[in-house]
Amino acid sequence: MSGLAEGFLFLAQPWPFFWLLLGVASGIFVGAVPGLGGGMLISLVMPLTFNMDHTSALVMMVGMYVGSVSGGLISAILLRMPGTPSSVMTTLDGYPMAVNGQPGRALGLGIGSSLIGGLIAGIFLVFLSPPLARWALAFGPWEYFTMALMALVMIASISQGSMLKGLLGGVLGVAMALPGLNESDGQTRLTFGFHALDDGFNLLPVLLGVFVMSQVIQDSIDIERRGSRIRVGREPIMPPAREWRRHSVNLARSSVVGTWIGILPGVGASVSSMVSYGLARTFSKQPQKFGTGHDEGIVASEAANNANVGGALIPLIAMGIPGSPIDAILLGALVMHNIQPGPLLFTSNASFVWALIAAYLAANVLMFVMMAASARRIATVIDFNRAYLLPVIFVFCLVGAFALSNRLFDVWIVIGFGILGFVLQLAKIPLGPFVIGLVLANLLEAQLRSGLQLSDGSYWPMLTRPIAGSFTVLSLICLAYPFIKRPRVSPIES
Amino acid sequence: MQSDRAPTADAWVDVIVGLALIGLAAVLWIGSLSIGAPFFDPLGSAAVPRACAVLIAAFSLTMVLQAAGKLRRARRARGALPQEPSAQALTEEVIAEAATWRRRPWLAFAFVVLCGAYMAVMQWRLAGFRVATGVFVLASVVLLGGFKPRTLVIGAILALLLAIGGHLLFTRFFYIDLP
Repeated sequence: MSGLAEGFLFLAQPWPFFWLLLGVASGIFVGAVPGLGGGMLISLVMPLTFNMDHTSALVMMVGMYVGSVSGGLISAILLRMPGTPSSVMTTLDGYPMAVNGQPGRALGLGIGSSLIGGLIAGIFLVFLSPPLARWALAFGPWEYFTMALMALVMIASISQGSMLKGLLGGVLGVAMALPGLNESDGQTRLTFGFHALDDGFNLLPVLLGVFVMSQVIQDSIDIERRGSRIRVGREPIMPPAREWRRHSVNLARSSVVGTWIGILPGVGASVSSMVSYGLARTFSKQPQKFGTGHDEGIVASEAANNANVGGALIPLIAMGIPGSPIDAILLGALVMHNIQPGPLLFTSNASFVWALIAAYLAANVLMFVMMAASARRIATVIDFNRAYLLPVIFVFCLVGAFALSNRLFDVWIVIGFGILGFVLQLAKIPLGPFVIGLVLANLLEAQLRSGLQLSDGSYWPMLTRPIAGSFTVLSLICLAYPFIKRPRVSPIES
Repeated sequence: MQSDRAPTADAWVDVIVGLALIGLAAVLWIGSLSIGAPFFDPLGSAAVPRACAVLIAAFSLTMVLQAAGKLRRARRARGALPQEPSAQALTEEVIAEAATWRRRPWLAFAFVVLCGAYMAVMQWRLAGFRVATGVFVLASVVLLGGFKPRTLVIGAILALLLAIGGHLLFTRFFYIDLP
């Protein structure tokens, strides 16, 4: 706990606090704007942090992460256009409640649930991360390889849509990380004579392309899209304390579910909110009210999606494995700031880790205060003409990609991967597995190589070593799951 | 993404993208043939590219065959297939129901071409960041927002802000070199 106290002391300094505040505020705003998102914001800001202190940079990005997941509820409730995928379930009850004359109450329920979900996940983050990191210190190459493989398989099988397409996305991501210098023999591969590819595809331009440029292309197709805006009156938006007691079971359950789904490597907030919404409905005394503007639906969705953020930080901090696609971007940011992710982070850079954990907790509180004070005002400015926004976003992409190595080739990569990301989404091939595959590819290959060297070329340790074997079995279960589960009615269908 | 496409349109997208990915897998495989044999390395540098090529080809081929099956069934049924319910499709439907709007794919294509032209101007040193950005922003705002007095004025203001203000911000505050 002394580490956590030091983390809070760090945040109490003027500049770190300023960066955290800026991160949360920008995250809320960007999360509230349909078509933008936390991944896009963090990718755009990453190159601007090159000359910043790395702790402040990551503190700001964690603030953006928390803010963006929460900000999505504003447009979900008032515009019926979820600002982020994790707020889709909030739309189902938030918008009807707003239409029924209670937009402020819907906002208040969402904001309060986001805070509670985030703080409950924070408790898990504080108490689970250190022992998990110590446990991961016992990992060898086979454990890392099978865990990374499990992350890819999990996100492919648990994400929405076809598992086949999820797996295809994951393998494509791995393939895109292969061109360039291979560290094992110092030779370049898959460059086809293009010397610009000798360093491979740099991670930042690829992320900018996949997360930002592809969305810019989609937004320009939907340039005429407008939401049906509901105005929030002057009524107080935060429900009284006795109402929150009524929701305590739902809050606790949704927060725990969100946290544990977040811990699963690769799975994002949208899955958490969907599962929690379904559970809330199953256990509700009034299931027929879900979808008509029911409190419990908003509470379940928002508690879970914010708890997912904290849960997803646990494997990232403890083991260097991203808990969600946005955590994959944070992993890229860590590498860019010369911080080696993995279980040794707690021992080699404990003050940095505790500052991040403290930033997560503080970001949830700041998010609550800011959104409670300004949700009404944000709602009036988020539905604006994207014709003014999209060119600005592309200019930021250009600057960000160019700043990496001072070459315009990286900006062409942004455009190329933007088109690729758009085409993949058109074919309903999810981008989450693609990004996870891209980020974990080098780890996968390096650990497999090390494992094979230790086992004289045998693959059996994947099954015979206890931890590696467990990860392998879990991966196989995930692969087999779609074939053995009974068809279920989704919470939206019924 | 769009949810009101006919299922047959989804199937055609799967076929086209699947075939393109099979082509990519072939390129990966051919590229891996020029990678040298390993020394003292049980894995080698070619193993992972070849594994990716095989997996991409296999998954893409399965996707193409599934899509071809859907198209065949649609032709037999002489109409669109009923859309298979899935959580993704249903959540997209929620989003799509929010408002009706006209989609502009050619506008998006033109915008991407404009982005490419912006890059090319700087790549071939026809103009620096300030001039190229000013022209790009104004042209993009007009392209996306229409040739109206309001968009012209706002576009011009944005163009100036980004070209001059942005240049100062990135070079003096963030210490980023610009083309």
